[in-house]
Amino acid sequence: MEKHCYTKDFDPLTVCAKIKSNKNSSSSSKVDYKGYPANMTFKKPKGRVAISLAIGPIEITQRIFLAVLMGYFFSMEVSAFLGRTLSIFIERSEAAVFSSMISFVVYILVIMWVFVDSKLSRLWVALPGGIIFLYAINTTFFV
Amino acid sequence: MFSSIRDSLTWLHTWGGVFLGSVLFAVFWMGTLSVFDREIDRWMNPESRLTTLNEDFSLDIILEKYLPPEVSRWEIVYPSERDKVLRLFYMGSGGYERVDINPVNLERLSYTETAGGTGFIYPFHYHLMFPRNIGNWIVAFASIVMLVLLVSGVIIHKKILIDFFTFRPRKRLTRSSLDLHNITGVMGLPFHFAITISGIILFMNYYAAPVINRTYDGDSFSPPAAYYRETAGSGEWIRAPLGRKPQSSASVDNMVGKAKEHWGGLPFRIQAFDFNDVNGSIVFRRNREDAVPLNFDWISFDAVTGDLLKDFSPKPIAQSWRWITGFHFIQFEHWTVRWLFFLLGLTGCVLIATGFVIWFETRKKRHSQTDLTSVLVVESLTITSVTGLIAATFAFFLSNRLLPDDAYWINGSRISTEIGAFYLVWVLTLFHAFARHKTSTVGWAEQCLLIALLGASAVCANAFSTGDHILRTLAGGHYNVAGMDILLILSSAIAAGIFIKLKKENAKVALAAQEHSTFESRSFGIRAEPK
Repeated sequence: MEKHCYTKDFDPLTVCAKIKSNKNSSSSSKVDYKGYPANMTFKKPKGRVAISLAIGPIEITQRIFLAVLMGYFFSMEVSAFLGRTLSIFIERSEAAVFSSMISFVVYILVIMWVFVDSKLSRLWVALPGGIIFLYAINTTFFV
Repeated sequence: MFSSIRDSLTWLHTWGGVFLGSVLFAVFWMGTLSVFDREIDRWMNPESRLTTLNEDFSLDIILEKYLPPEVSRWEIVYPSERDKVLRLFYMGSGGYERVDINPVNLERLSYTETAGGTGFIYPFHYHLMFPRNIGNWIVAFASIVMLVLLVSGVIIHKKILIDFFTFRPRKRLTRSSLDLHNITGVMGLPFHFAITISGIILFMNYYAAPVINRTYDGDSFSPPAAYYRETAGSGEWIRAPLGRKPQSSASVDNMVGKAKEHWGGLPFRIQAFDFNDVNGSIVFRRNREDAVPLNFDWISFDAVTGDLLKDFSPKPIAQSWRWITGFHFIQFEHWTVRWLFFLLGLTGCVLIATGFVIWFETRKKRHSQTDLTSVLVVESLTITSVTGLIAATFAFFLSNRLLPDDAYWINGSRISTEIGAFYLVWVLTLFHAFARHKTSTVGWAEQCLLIALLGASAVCANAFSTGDHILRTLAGGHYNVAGMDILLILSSAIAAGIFIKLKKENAKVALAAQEHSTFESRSFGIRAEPK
């Protein structure tokens, strides 16, 4: 049996592999499965469908929170740092416009980073830590 | 998330699309229609269907004729190629008044009370008619997700060049919709990316407010007044009123002449501040039709002496921001680009709708063997947000032509009644989708029929209520009205075609189901009920 494990605690491929898909056969077994009804049966999903199922709800919630809220404030502070640095060299309003336009690109990259990075712990340190650090710099230095 | 980047992004692409696809479709559909918002306005407000554009009129005469005395604020919107009516707004004793004027003979025009394209379809595009703050953030979030979907969609692609040329409409629905998803996604990618990111960037004072605030030494979330003053010259046209009434006011026509000399073209908007004061000022905004940027340029004149007071044009980076904004707004005069935007916007709608189809078609068979109902829910919501939204839009057009002038049934205004018709049809399609789509594609088919009927009757209602049928509008040069009618007929015909095709396939599948006990061979076919 091919074992293709995406995460340690949640892997429908291995759970579903044994279950037959034929609806007419009465041999389809019932699987006790966290997060799903006990009497549910699975056909082995393949490809994109398998990937879309291979992650637990707790991790999803954490990543969405990190990407949407933390990612937003992180990218805003990064761009604000850029804006404050630029405003030394060019006019302040121009620096503000430029760094605001860049901030959305930063946000997109941060969202993708949050969903690609394999280590959640790294994200939990980097994003809130980065926000606090950059906020401190942005509101104290260069004034 | 997973061991490979491609798998992680596949996950993100799938779920980001499923959760925000409905919002994205609504935004794309309304945005596509907003490309022709002025044309929709002409269609929904028949009094404004003028044929000749006159830009050579005396504003002094108009102000003398239509502006009551003692008005402090007024505003004139110049006629343009797309909207040939001259509009005067002023702050009267009973609130903001609107006067529509025919610039050819300077006579007052009546107007249909309608939100039209600029009052409903365009605001729906950027805040979904939610309260402004909530709606704006939902649309912004969906737009960011759209950008993430576009980038991740490219990365998870294995053979982008081959997919560019591949469309197999006669294969299984999953396969052909995946092909269509890839084709529209790859071909429209530059447009979809540019239009989405420019849509966020144009609101950056709002969405990236912390960045601006920090750059201006702040520690909160709103841009300071100094920022608006430096980028747009906001408020610099106003002088402190002295409280004395002026003896006379300067000729506005002379100011128009000066503004014309200054910019080499007419202004598009004239605003007067403190007009009943000796320190009053009149501000001219530069025309947006001759260049891409949605410019901030303005000049202001003394309302009493007619002297030039101030002249503002934005700095280079701010002007590049206005260029990006202008690219999104397309207020410039270019019909080829306008139609290209419209067609590419439609490919965006196809992209989002086929994304949904792929999601539930790949899961339908497996879910039919379990107790999972998510496919049913997602498919119903997709029907509502695709065909239901289109039907609701057409119902909005139809209600505009059918409702009597005094249809003050909702909120005491005809505008709200029209919008009410939109939401009524949309909610009905939601119930219909959940009630009817369970066994086969009847939900899709019946809503396509509804679209066809509503579209055709909107065209007929326009012909009967205004007398402007297609032959007459084409012969008389009302191409904006004729174009709207033609697009309505075209979309009704397409919807009717889809209805007939789906009906045939449903009949075929039903026949096959009777003949064979195993009828799951076609993925779009009858959904087996779980035991």
